[in-house]
Amino acid sequence: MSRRWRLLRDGITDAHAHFAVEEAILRMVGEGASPPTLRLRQVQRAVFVGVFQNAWDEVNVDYCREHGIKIVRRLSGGGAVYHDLGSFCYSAFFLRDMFPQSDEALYPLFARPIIQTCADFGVTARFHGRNDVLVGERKIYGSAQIALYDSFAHSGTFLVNMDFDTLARALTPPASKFRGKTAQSVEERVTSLARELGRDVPVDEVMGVFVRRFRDEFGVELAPGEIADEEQALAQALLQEKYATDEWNLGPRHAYRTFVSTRIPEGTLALSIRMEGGRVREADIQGDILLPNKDAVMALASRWTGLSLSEALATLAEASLPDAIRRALGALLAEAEREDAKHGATPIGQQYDAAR
Amino acid sequence: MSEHEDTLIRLEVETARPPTTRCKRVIAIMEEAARRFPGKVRLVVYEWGAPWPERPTPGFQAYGKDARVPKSFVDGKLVDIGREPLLADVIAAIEESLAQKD
Repeated sequence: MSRRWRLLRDGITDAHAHFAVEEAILRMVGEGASPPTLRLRQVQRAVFVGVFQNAWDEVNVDYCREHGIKIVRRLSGGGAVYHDLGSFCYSAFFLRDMFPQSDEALYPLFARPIIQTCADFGVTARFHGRNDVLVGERKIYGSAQIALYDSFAHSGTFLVNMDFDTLARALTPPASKFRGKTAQSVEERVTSLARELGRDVPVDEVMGVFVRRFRDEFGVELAPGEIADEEQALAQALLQEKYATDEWNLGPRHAYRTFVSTRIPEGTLALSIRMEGGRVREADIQGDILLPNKDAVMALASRWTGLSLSEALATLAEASLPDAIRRALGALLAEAEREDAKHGATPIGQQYDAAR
Repeated sequence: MSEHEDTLIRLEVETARPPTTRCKRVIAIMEEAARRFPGKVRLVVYEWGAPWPERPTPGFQAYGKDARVPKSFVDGKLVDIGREPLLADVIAAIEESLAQKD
């Protein structure tokens, strides 16, 4: 293993800028342009959402916006976590072949300096599950990993002095997360070094202990360094293109169900639509209209699966329908489309068709 | 997706978002493979963390939460992960899938 690592304490506290820098370093390490790096940082109040999570489900977005709490989606998986200047995170960036262990084995390995740091403060902590460190039954540290080509990042968050009140207000995890567990809220599931010690602990002091423990555990030299110009430029580009955008951070509200209805002389007509990624996944036309071809009208909805609402609207033109029903369905789809616009963006991606 | 598209063998690749220089090379390799089988295959590019442009194959989905990028698949079978695939491997996988369909 490379013995000389860069130690970065860049002082970036903006959550969006922080993640842009993280990804820039990950990319540059993979390109062989940056050395293995241990980056320590604190961020101002923010919620970090896992890459597979829907921020709208996990975060009280309105509360966060009102209180200047940034929401950012990280590259790695896992759950939503609240951060403020009372916790610190670290990321270890390295070429994957520097460690012979499996990806899974890296979680307990990188937890060791954290457990030792806790011990140095007189707190007994233990590794738990796949990627957590607990004190008693409460989580004090969590970690995540991401790989990009040969580059690898192991990141962890250590709770030192946490504002638990804001944490409880900012996160809105589904109740299912707590089913069968003693703790019934995020606040009950986590702890901090300060809470365990019954006194405030300067985060800087904890970081200092952690750095020594990390250095000793991995037998590396940690040389203080700066963010390179190339990393900075890439981070700026990633910030603008990704991490400063709602599209990335909040994502489309792509999984939801909407219900719209209208009354016409023939009766009541309603549309129940489940949308996913801007596409109709399931649609059902309901109502008490009396029509000779009612079944055909109801079956029309099945043709909309996989279409955008605009495309679904276009199918009405060729459908064999009484004009009144066509107009009513058109109005309902238009209403659903307006609803959809509130829910966010259309899917992103590139598609190539070699057959054309 | 049209009925015709549904009958084509799907090549899938997952890259970083936005793609790195190496990701662009992976896409180029997959495009080159696709060009050699006109009318028989199509390529879909997914970006890590972005909504899927269409529902991926079950084989791709099995690796959906694997945090290693890039990933290359032919007809739902993994060709390579964490690095650029070899063009020869992609072509061999396509030929194998075509042979199974015949």
